[in-house]
Amino acid sequence: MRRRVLAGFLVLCGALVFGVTTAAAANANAIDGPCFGSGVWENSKLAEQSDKHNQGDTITVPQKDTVHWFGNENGVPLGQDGPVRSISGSVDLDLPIGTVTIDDWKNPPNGSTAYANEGEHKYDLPSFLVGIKMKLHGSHSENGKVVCSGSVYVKVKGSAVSNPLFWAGVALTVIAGGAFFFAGRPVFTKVRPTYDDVH
Amino acid sequence: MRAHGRPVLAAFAGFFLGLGIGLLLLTLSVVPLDSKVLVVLPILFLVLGIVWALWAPLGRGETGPGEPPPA
Repeated sequence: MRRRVLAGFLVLCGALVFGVTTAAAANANAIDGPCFGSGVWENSKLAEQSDKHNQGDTITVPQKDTVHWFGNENGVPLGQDGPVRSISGSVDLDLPIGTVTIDDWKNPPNGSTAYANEGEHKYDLPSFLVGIKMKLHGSHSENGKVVCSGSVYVKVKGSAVSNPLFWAGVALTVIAGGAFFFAGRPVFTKVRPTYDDVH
Repeated sequence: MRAHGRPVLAAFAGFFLGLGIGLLLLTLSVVPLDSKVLVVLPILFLVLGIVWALWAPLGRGETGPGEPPPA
């Protein structure tokens, strides 16, 4: 299950934030830097690209699909190499406290000459992610310096009632709400009589 | 006689009430997963629960004079 979640996130990140070894971005920007990324979802026909979004935008994606992603830097076409450099980066999921790294990449032994990449990934996200708005952020560094960074909110398409966490929330609210109010009923405890009570 | 509620029960109930409300807000897309609200709500309701129980306002009707204490 965890693997499915991670795979799904990787796909979304790869398509929308970074294209695996090289990242994405251009003008309007979900990404700061000379990178660009795009994704086309096979069944839902959804198409998204980083220069059509700003940071803070929410992209709603299908729960299950196959996405074809592409990413490049400085507009370099696929297959064209450039100067060798050391690369690294990561894509992270923001939580209320801290972050979780979804994917990261490090320098190949002799550095990388690739400035563009593409791929496809089939994914099937679990139902407990439906309707939840998740912030993904990523960065890509070259020779130790961050060249691209960006973030976007991703939401899995579907009704909240299909998410088991919604029903867990309903149950918790009702049961704990009842207990909460019950706890406000007075309980009378005997106290030691005072001198005035006795005399 | 001194009246109060059940502060320990109220603290637990408040914590889980805050958690439940947080889950509803999260799954209804009202707040994102990285929102601090999801952390604050259970703590806030835990504290509110204790205050609520110490105040114990429910069913506190008119009471007549108590039984005289034993001499």
